Amino acid sequence: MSRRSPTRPPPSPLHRPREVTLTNEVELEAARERSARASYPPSDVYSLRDRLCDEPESSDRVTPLVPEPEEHRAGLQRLRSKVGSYDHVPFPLLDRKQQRGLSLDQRAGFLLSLMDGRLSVQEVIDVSNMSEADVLRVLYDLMSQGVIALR
Amino acid sequence: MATDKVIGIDLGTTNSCVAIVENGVPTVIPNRGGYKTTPSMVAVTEAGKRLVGHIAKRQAITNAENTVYAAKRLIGRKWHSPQVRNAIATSSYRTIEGPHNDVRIAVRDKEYSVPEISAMVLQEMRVIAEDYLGVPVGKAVITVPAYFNDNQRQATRDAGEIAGLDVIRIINEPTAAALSYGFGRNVEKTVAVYDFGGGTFDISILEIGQNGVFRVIATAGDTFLGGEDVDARLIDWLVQEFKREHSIDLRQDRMALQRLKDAAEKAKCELSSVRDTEVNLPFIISSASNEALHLQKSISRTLLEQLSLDLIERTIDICRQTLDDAELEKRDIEDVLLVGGMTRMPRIQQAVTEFFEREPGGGVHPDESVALGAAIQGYALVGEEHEMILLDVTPHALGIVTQGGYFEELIPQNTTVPTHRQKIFTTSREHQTAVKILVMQGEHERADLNELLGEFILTGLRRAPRGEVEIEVTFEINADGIVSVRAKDLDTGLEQSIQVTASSGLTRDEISSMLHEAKDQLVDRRSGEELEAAKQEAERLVSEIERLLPQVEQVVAQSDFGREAIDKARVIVDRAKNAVRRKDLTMIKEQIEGLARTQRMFKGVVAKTL
Repeated sequence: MSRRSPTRPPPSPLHRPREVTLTNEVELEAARERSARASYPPSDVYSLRDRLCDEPESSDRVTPLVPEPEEHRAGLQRLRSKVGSYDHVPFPLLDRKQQRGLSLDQRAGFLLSLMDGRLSVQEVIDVSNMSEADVLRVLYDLMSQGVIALR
Repeated sequence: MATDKVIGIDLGTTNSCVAIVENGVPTVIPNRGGYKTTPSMVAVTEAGKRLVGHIAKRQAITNAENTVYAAKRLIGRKWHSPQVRNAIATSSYRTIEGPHNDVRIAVRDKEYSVPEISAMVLQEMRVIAEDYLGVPVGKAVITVPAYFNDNQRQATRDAGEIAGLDVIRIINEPTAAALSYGFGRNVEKTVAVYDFGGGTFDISILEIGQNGVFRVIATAGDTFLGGEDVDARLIDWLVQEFKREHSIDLRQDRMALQRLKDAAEKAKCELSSVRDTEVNLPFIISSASNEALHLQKSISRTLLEQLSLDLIERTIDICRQTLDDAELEKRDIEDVLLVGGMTRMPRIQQAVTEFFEREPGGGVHPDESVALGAAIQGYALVGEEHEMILLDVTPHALGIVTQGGYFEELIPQNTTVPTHRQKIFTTSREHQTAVKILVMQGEHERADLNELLGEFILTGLRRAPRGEVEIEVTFEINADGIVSVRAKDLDTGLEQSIQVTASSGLTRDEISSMLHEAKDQLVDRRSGEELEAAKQEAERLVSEIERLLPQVEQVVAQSDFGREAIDKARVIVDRAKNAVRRKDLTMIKEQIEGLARTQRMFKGVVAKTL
């Protein structure tokens, strides 16, 4: 089996052959044969060699599915418990002139504009087009700085 | 079970409003946020959550591809119609051709018919009314623009049906405004309804007659001219000013643009009551050096007027043209009613006063009068003591195509229904043995500019020189608005007929399936709300018990009794917390009683120690 060029575009994940865990050269050879016999369209077959070699792969070539790290999940849980019920309504404690003295980025500024005392935490998450964790992080930061409060 | 109460819904292009007559008083029902109007917007978030109303509007720019607005411009229209082409050109959401030459809207991974989208708005209005009344609502009167044809009206009816409403009447928006104006007083007048809303402008001339007959004499407008155009002018100005100062185009950033849109609309509204206002948007964008930039601008009423002057003039031009077309003089207009949020703008009131040479009056509420009129009509239709019954009129003329492609009108526009009219026609060719009857709707002399409703052929005519065989054509519209057309050969008595029913572009099966889906969605929403309420109650009780627990433990420590009660309380609290975590409504409800009992007991123990 000829080795495919590493610059070849990646196959569609839907047509990718079943993953195999290889432990030794014998299994590797058997897998190569199985792969060669497989009825996948040539362009959709990943060379096993490609997959095992140590060549660096650009981030846009392969997007591996990884489980959410435990610390992220735990962090989100911590933020959720700090914020409490998503029915709480964040409202500003500073007027806009006072807000200008803060050190915020554009995203925080955008979220702060949504926290006008009308939308609940859940609604801010819904309309922000950001992840729940990002919104909660900014919300908690703003609460800690005394910029907003919840009611 | 649904009550007999009838709600009136103004299903607007940009905003909708719901009203009811309570104890004889027409009242607008506010939504949960306390607003009397609700944006006619529907969105689906990345998480698949459906948003309707204000909440959809707050993310309309940051989630533009998945936010549907101004669906009313598309309802009941054919995919290839010029109006649909125009609407698509200005929409940020994706539209595709439906299976019946209708329009479908793609949001996330699902396609929706236009009546389905409108049904989501109508369902929201129904929920607002039900929350207010505390009982289910079944019947509704919905308003539509006076120029809507049968298909657009039928599509609106279908939207109501999908939303779980029995639409007992569709009435014209200017007529509804006039109904609200005439409620409780005996008015016989010719009035102009100048309706400048968020997305459209309409001018209608109505004759309010005796016995509740409201005749639309003339109507015209621009479906792409509204308050949003004024907002756009203000946004343009703010963007240019910011670019001049910082060399950054805020239009390139969706978060910035969303904030600009909200702020421009707010400033516009404020300038109707004050002469100057300020737009203050801190941290609107970051510079190339990552420095947060703020937008702060003062806007005067004069500036807003300069920016929107040509738009106001366009509305006056349409008024002038409409009066000319109807062969009416300004002095024929006895009152001018201002409808739509934009008419709060002082410069618009001034322009209308100057044009009609009279102060607009009537005391109708710009945002509420249409919904109030619909509610009044609903009340009159089901009430026993109705004094004002609005008679239905045909929105467009009905007729057939004659030789040369001309439209021969049989039933004129604004004829009160039920009605029937006859006319005799003759053959146009020598020895003609068959005649094709093309039933049309519209006001144009040229048939091809009107809308084809249906066609049929009458055969077996006597072979005779042209003009000799007489065919009697009869048009009939019954009380339900169904049009029947009959052609009869007066020689032989042979006849052929057709029944024309308006089509929204949806089949009965499709409507039925959409109705079930909408019902399921509402059940999910209601149960979600029930879960949330139960969750909050449980959390409140748990927090109260946990607050009292140390004091109760102190009391128990000094006694031989009560240890068991504290252990039981801990179990109940743990179970409740677990139920809340699992979002199990039944389990939460089961624990609430125990929590309430424990809280009462703890309170009692603590009170005794004080």
